[in-house]
Amino acid sequence: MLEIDIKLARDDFQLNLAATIGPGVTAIFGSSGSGKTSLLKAIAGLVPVQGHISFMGTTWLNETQHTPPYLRPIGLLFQEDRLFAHLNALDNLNFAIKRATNRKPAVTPDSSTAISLQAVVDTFDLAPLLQRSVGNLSGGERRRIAMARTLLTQPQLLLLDEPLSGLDESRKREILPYLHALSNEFKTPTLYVSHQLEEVTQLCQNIMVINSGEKCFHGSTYDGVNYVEAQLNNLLTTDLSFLHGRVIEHDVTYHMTRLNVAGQNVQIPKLEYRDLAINEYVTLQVKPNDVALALQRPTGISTRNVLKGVIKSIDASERFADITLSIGGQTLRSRITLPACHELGLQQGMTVYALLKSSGLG
Amino acid sequence: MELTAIWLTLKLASITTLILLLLATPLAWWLAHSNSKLRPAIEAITAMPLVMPPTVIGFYLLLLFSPENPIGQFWLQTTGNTLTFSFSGLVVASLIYSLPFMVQPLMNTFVQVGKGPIEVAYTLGAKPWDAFLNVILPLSLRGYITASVLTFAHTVGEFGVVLMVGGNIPGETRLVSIAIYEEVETLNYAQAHLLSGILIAFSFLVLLLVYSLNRRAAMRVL
Repeated sequence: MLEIDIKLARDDFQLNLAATIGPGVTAIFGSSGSGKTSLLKAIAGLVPVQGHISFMGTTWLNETQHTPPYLRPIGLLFQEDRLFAHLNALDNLNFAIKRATNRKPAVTPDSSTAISLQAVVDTFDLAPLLQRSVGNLSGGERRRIAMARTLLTQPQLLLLDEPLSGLDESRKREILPYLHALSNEFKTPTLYVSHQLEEVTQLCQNIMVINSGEKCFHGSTYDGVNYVEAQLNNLLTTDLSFLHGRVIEHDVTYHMTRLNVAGQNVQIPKLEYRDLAINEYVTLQVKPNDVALALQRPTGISTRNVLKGVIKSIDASERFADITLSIGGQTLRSRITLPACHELGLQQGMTVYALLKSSGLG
Repeated sequence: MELTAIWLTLKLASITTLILLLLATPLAWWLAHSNSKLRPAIEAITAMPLVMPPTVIGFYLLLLFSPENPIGQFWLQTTGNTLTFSFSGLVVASLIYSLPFMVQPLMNTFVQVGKGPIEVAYTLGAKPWDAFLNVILPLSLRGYITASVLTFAHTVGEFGVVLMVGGNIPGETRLVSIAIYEEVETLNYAQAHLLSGILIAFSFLVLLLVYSLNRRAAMRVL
C-alpha cells in the first residue's frame, strides 16, 4: 500500500527507512527525537527528503517527481492541533470540506464512503462546539475538532502524530474512545506515531519500531511489544505489562468478558465504548502493583484471574522487588515488597501463580 | 494654504504604501522562513535605509537617476520623463527609503505566525495562493496594518531624500516637509506652524490608530 525508501538527515538525527506499510493502523514507535514526526512530514510532502515514496501505485516522490502536499490524499493530524485561530470551529471544518476535491486521489473515491460533516459531528460529538471560537475550546475539544477536520479532507491515508500527547490523563481518557472511532468507523489506513506502548497496544494492529534512525522491527503489535520488551528496554516508557489475549465469550449477566491469555483464562469487565468480537485479539495493560504472587494456586479468594508463570528475573531494590514473569512466553511484571519476596523464597526459574485483579485490567 | 503640497504628499505616501505592500510581502516571507546563507546579508541591506543619513541615500539616488546613468537613461527613454526632479523619481526614492518600515513588521508577523498554519493548509488541500490569501493573510492582518500605517507615515515625514532627488517643484515634488522648510527659510513662521501642526496631529492620529487596532486585533485572536 504505502512504500517508502527514504533518507532523512537533520542536524540531530538521521533516518534511513525502507518499508512497505499495509492497511489498518500501524504504529511508528520510537523514542522522542528519533525522527518520527519528520517521517510523517516527509510522507505528507512537507519536508524535503531523498528517496522514493509511493502510495497504492501512485508515485509521490522519486528522483524526478515531488507531488506537492496539497495534491496528496493524506490527512495529517499535527501534534499541536494547529486549528486556524481566525476561523471558528465550523469554519475550520469547512476549510477542509471546500478543498477536499483539490487532491489527486490514489484510488477513485467511492462517494458512498465519503465522510460527511454530519458523520464527524456525530462521531466526535461536535454539535455544541461548532459556533465556538477556537480560542475558547479546551485541549480535548480542540483535538476533536482537529481530528474531524483531518477526516473531512477525505484522506486515503491518515497520519496521526502523537494524538494523545500534551493531554493530561483525564483528557486522554476523553479522547481515546474517539481515536478508536477514528480507526473503526472510518477505516482509513493509518500511521500512528507514538512513543507510548500503552497507546500502541490499544489502537494499532501493526507496529514499526524505529531506533537510532533505523527500522528495527516491523510486524504485529503483539510481536512488536515482545520485541521491545526483550530488546529495547530503554524505550519502555512505562512499567505496565502487556498481555495479549483472544476473546472467548461475553458474560451478559455480570458484564464480563472472558479471554484466553497464553492458554489460561482471564476475565475482564466488558468494554463500554466498544463491543469486542469473539476471537478478536486484545491487549491488556497490567500495572505491576496490581499483580500479587503465590506459590500455590490459591482458593477461596475474590481475585478472579490467576495465571501460572515462571520467574525470569528478580530486581530487588531497598523496599521492593520487581519480578518479571513469563506467562507462556508473554511478559508480566509484578511489584511486591522485599520482605514478601524473601518470605516466599522467590528464585529465578520458580513456577508461581500471578493474581490479577480484574478491576485493574485496562 | 498649501493644499497642493498636502495632496501631493498624501498621493506619494499612498502609492508608496501600495507598491511596497506587493514588493515587501514576498521579501518579508523569504526573510522570515529562509535558511539561506544569504539571508543575513539581504536582511542587512533591507535595513540600511534605517541607519543611513537620508542625504546619503538622496545623493546616490540622484546620481543613479540622472540621465547620464543607465537607469536614469532607461527611464527617460521609456517614459519620456526624467527620474530626477519628478514625482516618479520621488516614488522610487520613497520605495527604497520606506522599505524597512514595511518589511520589518511583516517579517515579524510572518515569524510569529510561523510555518504551522501554512503546513496545515497544504495538508488540507490548499494550493499556495489559496493558503496565503485565506490563512496567512488573515492571521497576519495586524502586521499588515502596522506595516502599512508606519510606511505611510514615514513617507509623509521624509525630507532629506526627497529634497535631494526631487527638489522643490510645486505640484510635482513640493511635499509638505519641503514646504515647511521653505516657509521657515523665508521666515514665514505662521504658515510653517500651520503645516507643522497638521503633521504633528497626523502623526499622533496614525500612532493612535496603530495601537488601538493592534489592541483590537489582539483581542479578536485571543
